[in-house]
Amino acid sequence: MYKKILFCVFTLLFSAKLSWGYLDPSSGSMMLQAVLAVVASVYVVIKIFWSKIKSWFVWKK
Amino acid sequence: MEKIASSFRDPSGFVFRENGILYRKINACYKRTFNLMIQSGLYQELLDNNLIIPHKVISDDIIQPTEIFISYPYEWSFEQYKDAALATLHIQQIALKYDMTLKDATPYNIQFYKGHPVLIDTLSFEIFKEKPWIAYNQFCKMFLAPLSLMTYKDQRLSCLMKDFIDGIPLDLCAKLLPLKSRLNIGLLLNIFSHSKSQQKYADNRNINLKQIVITKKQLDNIITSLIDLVNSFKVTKENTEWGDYYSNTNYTNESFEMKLNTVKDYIKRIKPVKVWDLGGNTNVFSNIAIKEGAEVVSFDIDYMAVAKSYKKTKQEHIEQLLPLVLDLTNPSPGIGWANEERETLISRAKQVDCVMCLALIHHLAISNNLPFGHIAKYFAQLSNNLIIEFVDKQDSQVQKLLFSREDIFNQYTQQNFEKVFSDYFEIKDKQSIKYSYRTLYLMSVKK
Repeated sequence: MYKKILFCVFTLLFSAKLSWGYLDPSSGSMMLQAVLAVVASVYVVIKIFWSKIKSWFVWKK
Repeated sequence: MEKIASSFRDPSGFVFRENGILYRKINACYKRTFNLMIQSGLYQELLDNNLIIPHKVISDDIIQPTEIFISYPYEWSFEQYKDAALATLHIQQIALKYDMTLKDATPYNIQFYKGHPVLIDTLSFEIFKEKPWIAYNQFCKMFLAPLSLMTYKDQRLSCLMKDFIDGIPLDLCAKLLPLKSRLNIGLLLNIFSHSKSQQKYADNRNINLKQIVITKKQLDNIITSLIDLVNSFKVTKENTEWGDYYSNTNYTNESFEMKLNTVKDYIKRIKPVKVWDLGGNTNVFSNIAIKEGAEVVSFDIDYMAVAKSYKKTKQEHIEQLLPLVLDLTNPSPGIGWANEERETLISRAKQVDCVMCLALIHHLAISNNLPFGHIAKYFAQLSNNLIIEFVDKQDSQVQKLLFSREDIFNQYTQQNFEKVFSDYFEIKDKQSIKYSYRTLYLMSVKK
């Protein structure tokens, strides 16, 4: 009995971390998109703002 | 009716062949969406922008797409792969304007038609709903991962797409990419964080995915950021071993002119519609076939030579040429379920009516130790007509190959070449090229 418990603990501590990515890669992709939605929106705003500033400098010249 | 082997995953429809003609069937469950795609103007806008394959309507549930030569992402140079990724993203942005979205983002849905990448899966759209983009994971594995590896490591890593039919796993891509790639915020998010997120939330039953709302504007912004990320990928190495072959060889102007004229004469005699140019390099000879009205697929082992050819077809709007990467000694295998989803090279040679093999035989026979019989047998299966150049051992290019090798090639003689190839072909003509140790042959398969 104790040997069985020791075996389970040993396996949990030292086995390589299993990746369930192949069984279910979609959840992670969907979760990331929630973050990307915000980051990409900020990126696009900065991009539009930056190109306006650049065009203002070109006009000034 | 013969269903196409790769067309089984999509419940919206399938591709089949009948009496030699390719058709696409639209299943009942998809008809409404398909009609919406047509009537909304999405299909027309994609057609106007050369982003979708044209089709003929046969009935209310069958269309006939224009049939084109099928190539696979592991046969594309970096530039072609990048353009295919950008085409996918532009298609998605246009679809969003019509409240539609792509269900798939795979390079197997993109093919090269008249020199530019187009979507061939006309049934790949669905009505947009405010939820995460279903094709995002596929886009990252099948476009971003190989493109980033080609950019940051080596172009040849696109060969990983042969082993991973659903795209390069993101954790593998993350392990292979160098440290400096993490400085690219786009890669940090779409590859590295994405990989972690997949592992973290895998098989997690506690999260409620239905709560995640992505609006049309937000998805459009994500696509814009992906377009900028893909545009930022650049491969700068311009010259490789084969990139400049015709500047560095031993043809005099006169002998080169003679080779051009002889090939032209042979092409005029065959009048081919579809030509394969093996070892096409910068496509000097493919262009002869194109001028005589043929469509040419040109194959070369060198990524940069193919990239140069592709750039030229874009700049000069050459619609009849498709340059591809290929190692002829290890041609594309059949992969996927039952090795049938993506075809072997030879399966795609069914309509080829001429193969050109110029300045190549010595690489096959000497560098790769292939007996003439093996080469002749393979070429006879590809096409009925062959234009081939024999390069004698005294030629300086062959001498280079033998420089660091023991000359065990006693069978490599012109006499033996003619004898062995005559087992499979009838030699219709031969011309020795002046001031060189090379001879051009016109052959046709023995019946």
